[in-house]
Amino acid sequence: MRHLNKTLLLLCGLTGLSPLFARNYTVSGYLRDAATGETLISATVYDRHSGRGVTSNLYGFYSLTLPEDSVYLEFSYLGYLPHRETFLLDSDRTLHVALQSNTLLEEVVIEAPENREIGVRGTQMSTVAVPVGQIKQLPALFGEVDVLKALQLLPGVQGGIEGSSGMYVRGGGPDENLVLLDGVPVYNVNHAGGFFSVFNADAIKNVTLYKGSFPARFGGRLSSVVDVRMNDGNDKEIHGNFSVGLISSKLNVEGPIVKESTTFNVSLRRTYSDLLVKPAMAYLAMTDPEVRKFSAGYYFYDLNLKLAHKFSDRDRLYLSLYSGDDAIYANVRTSDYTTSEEDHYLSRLKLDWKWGNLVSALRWNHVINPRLFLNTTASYTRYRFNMGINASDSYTSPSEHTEEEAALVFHSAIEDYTLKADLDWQPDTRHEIKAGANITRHTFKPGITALSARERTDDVTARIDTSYGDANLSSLETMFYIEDNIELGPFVKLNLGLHHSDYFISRRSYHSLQPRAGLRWLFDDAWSFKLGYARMNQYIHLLSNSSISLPTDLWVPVTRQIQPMFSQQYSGGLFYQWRNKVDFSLEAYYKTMDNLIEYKDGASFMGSSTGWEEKVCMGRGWAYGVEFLAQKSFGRTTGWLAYTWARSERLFDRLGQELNWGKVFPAKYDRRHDISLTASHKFSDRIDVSATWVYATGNCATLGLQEYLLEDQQLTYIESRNNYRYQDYHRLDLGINFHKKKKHGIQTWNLSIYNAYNQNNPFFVYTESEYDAADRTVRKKLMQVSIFTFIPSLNYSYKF
Amino acid sequence: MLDMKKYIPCLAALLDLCLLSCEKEIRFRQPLSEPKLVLECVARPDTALRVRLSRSRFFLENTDRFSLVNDAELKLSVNDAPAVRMAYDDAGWYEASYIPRCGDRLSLEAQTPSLPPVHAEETVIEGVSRFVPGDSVSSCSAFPVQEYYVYPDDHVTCIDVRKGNTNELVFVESARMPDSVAGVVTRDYRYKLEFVFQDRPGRPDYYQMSVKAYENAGTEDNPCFYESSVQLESRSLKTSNYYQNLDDEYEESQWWYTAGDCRFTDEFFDGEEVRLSIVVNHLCDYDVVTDRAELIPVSSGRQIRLVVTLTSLSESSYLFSQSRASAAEESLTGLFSEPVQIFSNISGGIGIFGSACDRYSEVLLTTPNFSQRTFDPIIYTDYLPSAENIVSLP
Repeated sequence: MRHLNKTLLLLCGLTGLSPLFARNYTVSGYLRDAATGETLISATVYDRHSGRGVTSNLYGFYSLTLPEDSVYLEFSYLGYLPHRETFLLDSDRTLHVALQSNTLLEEVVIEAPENREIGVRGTQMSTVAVPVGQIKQLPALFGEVDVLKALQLLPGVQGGIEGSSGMYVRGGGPDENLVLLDGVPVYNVNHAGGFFSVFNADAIKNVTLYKGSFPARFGGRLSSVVDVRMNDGNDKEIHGNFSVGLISSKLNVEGPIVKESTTFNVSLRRTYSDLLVKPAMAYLAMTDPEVRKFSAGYYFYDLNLKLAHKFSDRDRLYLSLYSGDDAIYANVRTSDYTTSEEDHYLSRLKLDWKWGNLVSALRWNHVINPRLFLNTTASYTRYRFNMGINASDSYTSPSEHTEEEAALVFHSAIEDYTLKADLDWQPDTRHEIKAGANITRHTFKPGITALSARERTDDVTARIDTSYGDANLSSLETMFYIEDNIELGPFVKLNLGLHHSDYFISRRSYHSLQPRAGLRWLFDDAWSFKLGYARMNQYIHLLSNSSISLPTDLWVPVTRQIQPMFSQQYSGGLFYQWRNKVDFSLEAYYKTMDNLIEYKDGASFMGSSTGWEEKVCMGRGWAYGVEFLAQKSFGRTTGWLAYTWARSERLFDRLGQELNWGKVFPAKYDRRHDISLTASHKFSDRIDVSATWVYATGNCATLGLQEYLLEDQQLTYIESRNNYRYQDYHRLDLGINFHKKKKHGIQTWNLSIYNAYNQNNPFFVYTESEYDAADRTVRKKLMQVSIFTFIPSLNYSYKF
Repeated sequence: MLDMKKYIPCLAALLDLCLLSCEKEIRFRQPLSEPKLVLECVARPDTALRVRLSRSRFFLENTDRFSLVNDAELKLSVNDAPAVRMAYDDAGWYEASYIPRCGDRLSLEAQTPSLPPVHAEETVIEGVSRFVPGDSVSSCSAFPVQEYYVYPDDHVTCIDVRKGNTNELVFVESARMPDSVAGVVTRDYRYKLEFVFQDRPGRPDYYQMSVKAYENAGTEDNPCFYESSVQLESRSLKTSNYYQNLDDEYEESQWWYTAGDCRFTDEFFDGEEVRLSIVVNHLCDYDVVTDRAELIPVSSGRQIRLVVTLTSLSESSYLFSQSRASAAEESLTGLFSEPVQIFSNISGGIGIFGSACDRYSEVLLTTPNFSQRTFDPIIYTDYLPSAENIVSLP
């Protein structure tokens, strides 16, 4: 311990820590919800006398070091009544505070508390925290509240195709987002081809999106970090809710196992479209004499589980678990009496596809001393795709009997084992230091196919049994970081950090030192100006051919030919808080990205990683833009207005790896304008309404605009990549909630309409030719396909 | 019930909205792309120069025909000499009396009343100085990779015995063939052949290789050759020099076939004598098997002429051929992939003004005898051929 302290002291010295040995004392403790005992993340602790404050960390722990004096502490959190404490600080003091949830709706009563990490006063920029309560109020496709789709409504974040939860942040690709669930990466964040995310909003406590100026504790992706935290569980009494929607039902139960000591939180979600179509299939099987059995369907499910145990005020243990799968299955048996009842033909097809994540983490929080907080995590995350197809035919006649059977099994996966330690240290009044280390063993299982076939004719049998595919690949990633929030007087605050990572794979190693910096200049209590810089590295790529998320998409590591991607991002912005009610921000950014990969013209993966290096090109890209956000998170009316002007371009001009003939072309999701307007209004405890309107410049596509004849073949001339823009996208979603108090809880009816004015937004376009045989003419048309036009949905939930 | 009736129109309207066609014709809103002049010409040494001009069409133009351009003023300039006008020959080509020579710098300019003028330049490429079978051609080998057993009732069993380093494809054969089985046995042989050529130093060179097989279906006295294109395996083209510059991973080749020609550059062997090792595959039919003890090949002893063409390409021709091959592949498999941009070096228009020069080399092989083998389970664990399947060369 002494050694640790010495090391940290040395580090502080290096960062210019001068008043280290002044007579300071520390107030520390946990901030919690008074009703549920749930820890509060990023809650504010502010001393009005000294003007200093901190925010609680990801585990609800805070530590505020102040000079010996009387203090007037104010504890506040969005949606909670503030709590104030006055005392003479003449020794280190532990103070756990429970905040009361604010059920009052009048804005004049309470001012919105300021998030001291990302608000006007914080050094962090390009970061948005969206309250989960607000996300739940938004109208949703099929009534499925979706965390990632809510993030798409923020400035700098673009959705992919219609209805998908894919994210393109500040000109980056969909695989450049680090999505963390309780600090553990989730590789496949989508269900149903990307139309839903894996995050069940009932299980989630907090969502924070980092788009730039990344704190040093994050690394491994170029474009964004989505930090999703699960609820710990109510430590007072058992509560829960269940909901029934058009496509899924959800159940969430939380409560104490041992009161105020051990809690659980469990959430389940499952879709039931497969169950609903079962009767139709049974009817089909009944009415068609050839069909003997017919069952098929698709479903996905999620299970979130969290156990928390408090050993003492200093030690807590958490176990987080997420398991979710998508599944497609089919079982079809047909029989046919072809010529006579003696000739009998039987056929069977069985499909069994399953893909999904398993994420688990065991976390130990230990308060070493009031100024030093340690979090140690052991985690496991895995994404796997299993596909099984089995087909068999048999033919029986009086003279012969033949059987044929073929089976194909495909398996691919990626899994990580991680050990991690994070320290939060507040050595004095001016420094908040975070440091940590992480070691991860990645195992890539790019895909093994097992194939077997059997043919039997009377007493002759032929059999094939084989397996092939790429060998598993393991790599080791280590990471160290240190960051310090330094207060340089009342106006200036700095966040300096270093992130170092090593990646070892196939006897090769890559190293990367990534400096991070942030500066906040406070003009007054309402205005501030911020600057940020971050360099990021990424060692893995997602091989995907399509705009939708397919289970066959594969994660692959860097190789000797494919270098790690890296980016540098510069950002600056003005931040303003109007009467403590509405936060405004205007940010500009410029990001360069190197060693990006793009698929060569015509390259196709579709589940195979074999030879993938030769199907991609390496190049660079840059993105820049301006983002405006006006956000009101508190009161009867909440919501935000977001506008983004952006440009994202690519240049692939390396010898032999040219794309677009080595000329600049727009990135696939380059969009000039993006507007999102969301609003929720609570009329009373019984009724609230919400609306979302989005407008975006159309997506890019590559279209050959000229056709020509060469060497007697018709060819298409494509002048440049992504040369065609779909028509602009816009959509209005509406939602209304009716709440009613019942004997044991509150019931809510939710009616949502997705795309309320039935706008036909482009999903894709294609050309169609109509031939008129009579006058031998041809008519060519450009056709647009749209999906999700006017989707109403109804949802019932009951909270107890 | 009566009350419900008034809701029916509303429900119907709602349902209509939900089921509105999600597909509609849209207007092309961007500036229209104007037709361009398409120029097609490949200059080969010692072959009269021919140029074809046609007109491209907008992809939504209501026609499925292309029109040749016969009223253009097409001028050819050689080595910066005054341009001469090329004449249209009514067969769709513009011709000049000029015969290209290696190293000539050619310039083409075409103008028509209705389309923007085009311009293109190319240098006539020289072929490789030497392209001959290598020393090891005498020991080239063949071995079975696939066998098709056709049963009397037309059931076919395919047994694949290939194995690569990366894709470990090992098929276990357990076909138990009864004495009564009759049918055709086809063997798919791989031949490893070696050729030598000299690459020119100090400049990037581009090559295309194609192999054609001519199988004598007649007799030795009265030969009758059938021509067929031979599929080259992807990465089947290897050079000894190439390996020295690549890591082990590259060597882990895959064994899927690629159709058509094979193109490569001299990036790794500039200026060297290159030993090309190519693998081609060829199907050989054997006789109907009536008794497993007597497997008699009907085509045994037949001769196969393999003609290998090594074409030196100009850079433009190479890029054009590469992109065109990718486009052909993409049209078959590219449901989700990016469309392919086909290379063009015609300024102001579309098309290709390239140059190519062919060199030929050939070997004569004899179809191997079908050796006696058992039908107990066999696991082929090595790529190397077994001794009895070595092709005998004349």
